[in-house]
Parts: sequence; structure tokens; C-alpha cells
Amino acid sequence: MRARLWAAWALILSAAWLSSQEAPRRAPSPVGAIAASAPGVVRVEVRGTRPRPDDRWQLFRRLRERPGAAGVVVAPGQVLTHASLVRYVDPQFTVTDVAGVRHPAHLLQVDDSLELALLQVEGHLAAEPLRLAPELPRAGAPVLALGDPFLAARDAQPAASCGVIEGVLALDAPEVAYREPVLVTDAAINPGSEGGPLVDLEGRVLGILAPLAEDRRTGDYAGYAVPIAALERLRAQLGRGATLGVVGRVRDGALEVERVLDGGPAAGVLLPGDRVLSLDGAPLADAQALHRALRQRAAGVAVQLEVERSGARRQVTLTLGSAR
Amino acid sequence: MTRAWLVPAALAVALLATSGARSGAEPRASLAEVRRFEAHLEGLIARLSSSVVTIGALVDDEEGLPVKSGGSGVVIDPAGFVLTNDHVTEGQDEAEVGFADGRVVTGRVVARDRQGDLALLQVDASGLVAAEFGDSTALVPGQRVLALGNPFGLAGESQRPAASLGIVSATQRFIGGSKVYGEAIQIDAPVNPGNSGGPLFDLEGRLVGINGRISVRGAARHNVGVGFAIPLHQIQLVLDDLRAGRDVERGYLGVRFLTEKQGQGVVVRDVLPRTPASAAGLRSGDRILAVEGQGLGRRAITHPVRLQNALSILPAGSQVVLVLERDGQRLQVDVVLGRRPPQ
Repeated sequence: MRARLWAAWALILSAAWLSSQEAPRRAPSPVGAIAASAPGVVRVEVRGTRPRPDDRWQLFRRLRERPGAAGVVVAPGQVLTHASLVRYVDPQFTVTDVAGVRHPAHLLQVDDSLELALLQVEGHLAAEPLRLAPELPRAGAPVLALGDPFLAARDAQPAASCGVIEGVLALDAPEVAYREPVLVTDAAINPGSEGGPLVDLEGRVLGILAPLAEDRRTGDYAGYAVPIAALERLRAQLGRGATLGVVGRVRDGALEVERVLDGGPAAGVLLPGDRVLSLDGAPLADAQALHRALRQRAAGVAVQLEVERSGARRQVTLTLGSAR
Repeated sequence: MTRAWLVPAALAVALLATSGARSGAEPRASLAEVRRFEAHLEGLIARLSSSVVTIGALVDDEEGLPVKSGGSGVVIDPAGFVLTNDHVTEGQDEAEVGFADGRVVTGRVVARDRQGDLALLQVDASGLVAAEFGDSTALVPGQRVLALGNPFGLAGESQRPAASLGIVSATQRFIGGSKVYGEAIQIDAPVNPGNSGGPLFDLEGRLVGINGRISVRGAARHNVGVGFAIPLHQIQLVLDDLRAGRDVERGYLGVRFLTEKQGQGVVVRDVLPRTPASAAGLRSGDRILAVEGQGLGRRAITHPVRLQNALSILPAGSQVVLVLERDGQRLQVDVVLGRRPPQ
């Protein structure tokens, strides 16, 4: 009995000793935060057939040199970025890690109202997921914005800018879709930064950087990040699948629209009686073809439809909704 | 019985582990620490200001008409040598150099490195304080740096420089164009028109670079938190030439390489005719693994931009050794870099 107690004490003491022998904890600092978080920052490039018609971030994009922004590894093989990247019909993504290795990636989920998009990297992504901050930062907290402003990095190494949280508040700007308080910061954010992380001095992700927003009241450009807690809400939508928001049936190589759901993705785009012949160029030969096409796409993705209406054919674009 | 002590032991271990994790969280800087940091900065700025100068020159604008340019510079030798950007004194033999004590003297341009955006001036003045040299190869992203200079010409008659504080945002940036910034230091300390040619210091007060250009958004030419400095280690490679009054040109190899990363090293796509590369017998398909040179040390080429960077910081005439892989064999090739053709 006594021997066992001693053994227990020995275990406790050795655990205490081991924890005291961990690598000396450096005081939180920009140097340490960047060393911890930069390896989990990737470059995201996107190609597609043409811009979405409902692109709220269009103005900002005209300022950039070439398509691309940053992303954050949040789970093995998964990259979180800003929704503004998903701006093409049938987007094709390439993710480049800090070692300079390029991977194709596909969209898992995008939600404009959360301003987030989650990508799945195909093949092995060596980068480790970054730690996420457990709670919202307070005003005045020092932070770092990581990304690739002006896409100046030719070797995919992100750049960091240091600043503070100016406030956790709702911004009144047309570009801000996230309707809850965002992390407003004075750290430098520029075209190419969006999608990158805002981290605390321990390198934990506080939020995802968004394109600059023009404040309606002051006319100033404000830099902000969407709080990382929104990631959980994006994940909750995973697996729900995407929908066109119509009732109909596939017959004779076309989806025949019987009813268009009010407020759904097809409202104002499709009409009862329309025959949808193809989706992003893929013919809708049977119901399986339609289900396959929708399964491969996330809600929030824009698709191009070939529609036959009163004998004439036309191309329409709509943004898929989330299936309930 | 066994379970009876295992549970408290496991609990105790868990408690220890969590308390260990918690003890490191949220250490807050006390006001005293902040004051100490500020006092350090104040002392640094007061001391370093005596090495910082304003530079006024008449330069040619895009249409060839003379306009007054405001810039900055740094004293690097009490004998009167002042370093600045070439674009601050472009096309001029002389410039007005103002010191923080109010003196304004005429400086003579001794030599230039046009593509490297450097100019060395000499002034005839006594009691000059030279900036101490630091090690720009040792800079780490996140490290704080101090930029001194004359943004928007605000120093005016007083000639006293302004300071801004920031971090090293990234190192090893390559910014091409008619002026080439290789292995450049990216900073978020605000630098603006007029800061050009001014010094970048580490927090020990040692010179690590010359602030030269910024990225801007849209038409306005003001700071958005993305500035670039020429690293001191590049300047040191050409300083002897500049002091001796010899203009410097950037080095040139004469290869085009695959810009996308293909495993180790960088693969040569084409060797251009009548270039140092063709003279040295480089072939398309060669895999460049490392570059060695005097003042450069050995640079492992882990990414195409590293090769671009290593070659861009070397002046023409530099002798370098390229470590190659060809048909599965390792070999070393000596190359003397030529002159980079104007872009």
C-alpha cells in the first residue's frame, strides 16, 4: 500500500518535472507569434469561367494585380479563407503552402453571410493546423495580420503587420456581410491579405481577414477580421448539400421546372415551365446527373445553367442555396 | 484498491498539466515595462537622429523637367560619407544635405548603384556621427525596427528627422523593375515619400537597411503598411566600390529558369547566348542547388526566388560558384557575373 502511494507520488512529481522541462516558454511576442502561425498560412489562387453576377466585393478586386489571397490551415488538409475568393462560376482552387508546394483544392462550403469559405486540399498538405483562439480578443489587444499584401511574396512566405484590436464592433459598411461584431484592427491589411489570419501574440487564430471596408459614416477604410467562432457555423452547414430552389422533375434530358421557391436561389432567375438543359456545361441526362452535379458543389457557389424558355435557349447564372 | 489511488493520481497529474498551461497565459505588460520601452526608444531616437540627414536635390521628372526632391540619408562614416537612394538624387552631381543640428551643407555624389537604388554622397562637415552597422541577415519577422527620415519633407528648416516604429513583416522579398530590391526587408513601419534613402535601425540602434520604396493602393502614394528596405548586407557588397568613386552595376547570369518549384533546387530552362552562363557552360536542365560567393556565403536555393535574390544582391564582376546537379552528377561551376542589361 505504502509502496503504491510512493509510486503515485513519484508519478505526480515526474509529471510536474516534465512539465517544467518543456521548452522554455518565451513571453508572447510578434517574433514568436509569427514563427508559430506563418507555417499554417497558405496562398490561395482561384480560376474560373467568369465572375459571379452578385459579387459584392467587386470594387475591391479591381485594385488587385492578380487573383489570389491567403488562407489558413484549420484542420488537416482543410483551408479556411475569405468568401470573396469564391467569385467565379465553377471555381478551381490552387493552394500553395509555405514550402512552395502547390496543391489543387475544391470548395467544401462557402457562406457569404459568414464571409468564409472552407476548402479541401487534394493530396497531402504538410502544413499543421493552427491553434484557434478560444475567445474574442478585447479592445487594445496586440495582434498580427498575416497574409500576402500586394502578392509581393514570390516564395509564398506570408508577411506580417502588427497592430491592436481597435474594437469588437459591428461595422456599417456595404462590403461587410457579417452581421455580428467583427474584429476591427489597425494592422495593415491590403489586397492579398484577405483570407489570412489575424493572430494573437501566441500565434492563435482570432479571425479571418476580410477586404477593407469603407465605413459609411467616416468614409475611412477599416480593416477587420471575421471572428474565428464563425468557422463552427460554417462547419455546421457541411454535408447539407446545395440546391437550386426549384420543384420539378428531370425528363427527356432536362430539368422541367414546376415551381420556383420564394426567396430561394432561383427566385427571379427561373420560371415555371423552364427546361434546364445543362449545369456548368454538363448535360442533365437524368435525375442522377442533377444530383451528382449538386453534390459536387457547395451552397454559395455560382453555377451557369442553359435554359430553354418558350422555345429559345439562354444562359443564366445563379448562386446555389443550402439544402435543408 | 489499485483504482483507489490511480484516480487521485490521474486527477493530480491533470491538475498539474492545466495549471502549467495556465501559468503561461496572458502575462500582461505592466505600465512600468511600457515606460521602460518608451524610454529606450526616446534615447535611441535622440542618439540616432544625429546620423540621419535630409536630402534635397533637383531631379528630373518624367518629362525631363527639374523638380525639387525631398529625401533622407544616413551618415555611415565620420569622414563625411552619406548613403541614400539613387532615386533621391537621380541625375544630380550635388545635393543639399541637412543635419539634425540645423546645418545644411552641399554634398557631392561620389558614386551610384543605379539598379540597386543606392547613391553615396560626401559632405565636408566636422563632428559627424556615423551609424553603427548591424547584421541584416539575422533579421526575423516580428522583430521591431525603427525607420528615421523626412516623410513629406516635414523636417523643414529644422532638418530634424521623424521616427516610425514597426515590425519586420517579412525578409527575402524580391521586388523587380528598373530598380531591383533583392533580399529586401518588408516592414510595416510607416514610410512615406521623403523617407526614401533614410535608415532602418534595429532596436539596438544598428543600421540594418535603407528604406527605399513602398507598395501603394490606387493612385495615392502614401503608406499602407507595406514598405521595403535595401538590406545592409547587400550594401556592404558594394560599399568599397562606391567609396572609391566607382559606379556599380548589378550582376547578371543569363539564364531563364522554371519559376515553379520542382523538387530541390531550381531548374534552368534556357541559357541565353553570349552571357556569363553560356560562357561557363551551363545547360538547360541543370538543377542549381546552391550559390556561393564572397560576401554572400553559401545560399541554398530552396525556391526560384532565392536564386533571383542571391544573384540580384551581387554586383557585376562578382565571382560565384554554382553548385549544380546535371545528369545525376553533382558539379561546381565558377561564373563571373556580367552586367545586368537595363530593363
